[in-house]
Amino acid sequence: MDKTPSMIKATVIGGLSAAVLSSIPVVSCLNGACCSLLIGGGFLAAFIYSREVEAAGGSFAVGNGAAVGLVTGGFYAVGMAVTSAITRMLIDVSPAEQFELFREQLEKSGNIPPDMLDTLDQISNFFVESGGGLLFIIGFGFALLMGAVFCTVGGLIGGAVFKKDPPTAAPAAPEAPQLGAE
Amino acid sequence: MSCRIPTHPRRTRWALFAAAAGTTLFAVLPIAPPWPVRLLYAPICHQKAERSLSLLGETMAVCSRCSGLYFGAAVAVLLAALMPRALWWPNRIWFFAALAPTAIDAVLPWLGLSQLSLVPRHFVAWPAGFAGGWFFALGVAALASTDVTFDRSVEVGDG
Repeated sequence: MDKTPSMIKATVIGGLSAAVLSSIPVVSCLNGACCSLLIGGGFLAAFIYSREVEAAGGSFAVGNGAAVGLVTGGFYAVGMAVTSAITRMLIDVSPAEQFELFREQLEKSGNIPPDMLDTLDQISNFFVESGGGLLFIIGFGFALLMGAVFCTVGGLIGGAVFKKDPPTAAPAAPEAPQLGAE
Repeated sequence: MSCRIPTHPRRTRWALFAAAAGTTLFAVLPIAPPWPVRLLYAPICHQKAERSLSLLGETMAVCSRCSGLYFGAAVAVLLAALMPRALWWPNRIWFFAALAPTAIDAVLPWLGLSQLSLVPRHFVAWPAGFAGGWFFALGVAALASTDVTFDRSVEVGDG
């Protein structure tokens, strides 16, 4: 009987844990170090899947890790959409205030030309006027892109770290010479 | 320990060079960057000027820890690309050990202790970046040296 361990459990756990941790105010600072929570989510999913495959007696290749990481990125985006909707319900932060925070961060980092800041303000006004729906869709697309890139990198690294080679087949016994064969 | 990647065909070498070019560009771009580059790095780093190194008279587009991670990863992937025959699969313990210095540095302020200054913080992040880059290179090499299709089926029992 052939049985393929489902990667759903591993990817859901990896993606949702990255999304939930990214939504917690203090913990989300970890994403400031090269999206380490996203990379960690892909890595965690690769670890869980490698354990499942190992328990089923199979092999876990680097490609499996990368694939698991990619799917994890999708679940991360879904998780972020849900958690951001919940956060918006609990803490009433308007899109305008979010843009203002982003603008302040850019201004502090310096070297942003004033005309660029004006352009950002115009974009901000457009999104605020168009309501939260468009911003939500763009946010989801952005989370999907980030998840696809960084969770796949995490899964790839996880695949290399937790790689398990297939069991080597025992060498075939030499065939006994057939007596009387011409 | 442990096993080497058995073959290094041309495809593997090219894949490693592409990965090395990408990671090196990713590490070097934040040095004295124009504003679009700052915008590009904004989602993945806090970019606080007081926590970023200054090179060539400009504040880098990423903090000192991030730049250390990127440079460590770039050096690892470059080494892997230049010496593909020396690629070897270290024990996974080394991967987690390499993450420890920068993890400890990140936890210090939460324990009420003072953090390292900018330059030490940059270099403390190198081992983690190097380990991540090395395993990333191993992954790229393994993917490139095998067929694209991979077998997900696992046989259980003898049914």
